[in-house]
Amino acid sequence: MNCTDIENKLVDYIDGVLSENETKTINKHIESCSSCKNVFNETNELINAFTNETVAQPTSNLKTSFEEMLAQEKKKQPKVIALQPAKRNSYKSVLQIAASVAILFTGYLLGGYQESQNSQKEIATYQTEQKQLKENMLLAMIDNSSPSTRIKAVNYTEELTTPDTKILEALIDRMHNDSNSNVRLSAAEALSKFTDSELVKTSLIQTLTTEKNPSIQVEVIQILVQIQEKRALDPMKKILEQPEAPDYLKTQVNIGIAQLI
Amino acid sequence: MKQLSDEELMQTVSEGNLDAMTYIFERYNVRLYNFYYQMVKDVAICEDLTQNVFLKVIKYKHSYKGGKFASWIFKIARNLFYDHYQEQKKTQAFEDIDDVTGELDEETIEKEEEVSHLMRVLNNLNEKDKELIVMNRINGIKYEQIAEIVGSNTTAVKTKIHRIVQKLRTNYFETLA
Repeated sequence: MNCTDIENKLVDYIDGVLSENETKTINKHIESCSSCKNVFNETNELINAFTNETVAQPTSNLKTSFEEMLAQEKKKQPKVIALQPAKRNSYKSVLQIAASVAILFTGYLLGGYQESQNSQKEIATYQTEQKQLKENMLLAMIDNSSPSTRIKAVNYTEELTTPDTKILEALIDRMHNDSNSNVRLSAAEALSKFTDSELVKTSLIQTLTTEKNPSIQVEVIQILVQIQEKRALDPMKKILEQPEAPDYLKTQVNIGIAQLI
Repeated sequence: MKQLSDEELMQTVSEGNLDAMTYIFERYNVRLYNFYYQMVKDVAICEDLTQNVFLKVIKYKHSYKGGKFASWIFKIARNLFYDHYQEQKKTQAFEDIDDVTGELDEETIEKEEEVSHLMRVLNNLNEKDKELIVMNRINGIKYEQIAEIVGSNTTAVKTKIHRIVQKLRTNYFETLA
């Protein structure tokens, strides 16, 4: 860049909108060229003078007259029809015009209403279809041979606010029967969102007796204690009797029992 | 309504809710006033012009078809300014009154202590140049938007403004006491 190029870029340079490379080039140039350095200093001072220029404030008159004007404009607004006062000889035709306007308007409203009705129906159908599609996809994924896909599917179900029984059954099936413990754990976590369902509650209680993996057992105990499920007491006490149960599991069971009673 | 964007507010106005105008007024009155004040150093005229912008916004509310609201309102402000400018020119020809377009004569400037050196230099620019530099450097309007307001393209506006800055710089330091 020569001195003219530099001069042309100075404003952008001061505004800080140049690329890193250009900024560096100009930095270097200014250091070595005293005439450009002078131009830079002056431009910088000028630009700063603009920034320091005080903002002029209008007097309160402006707001007052604005408010008056607005009030007047508002008054004018609903009287649009009154601008054509009904002359005696033409008042029939005014009525006719009014009637046709009314008919047109009613038609317009009706049409709009019907349309919105229809589109609402369409949207509802579309939403149901979409939900169905999502659920079917989930059900397919949940049977996938890859555990990570199954976990993904399980996690997706948490996005559903009201999953239907098919989905819940699939999740319970994963929690009980999946060969991979991570999938079982994710399924238990997902089900903890839907503990309003009796089906889910009983299945969680059942898990306590069938599940042998301590970390899943801990998770399930926590869920059941959270919802204060007293029926979990018996299977929990049974865990305490198992000699192979690790200590931390037993501690968790004891804490849980204390919170349930 | 406070959370609405300028565009949404204007949409509400064009649907007939004039109350939204109050918010638009709050957001724009000082900016517009300052735009005029740099062009015409007369409080009463500037307030009048600013007020008229809002009146025009209401009158033309149906012609707002979306798009950046700031550009639209400044377009109106600009048109009003040029109408005012033409009007003044005509009157002047007949009455030979003081120059009201902002080109204050030296004596008046000296009397007004609050007029900064920058303002004195700005007053030596022609209206078009002054307007561009005021919009960009004092009103803080971006090049793209100014291009929209004056009906030009961003590059041209930017080059023009940079050239005005250079012109100003020379004047500013030559006349600096």
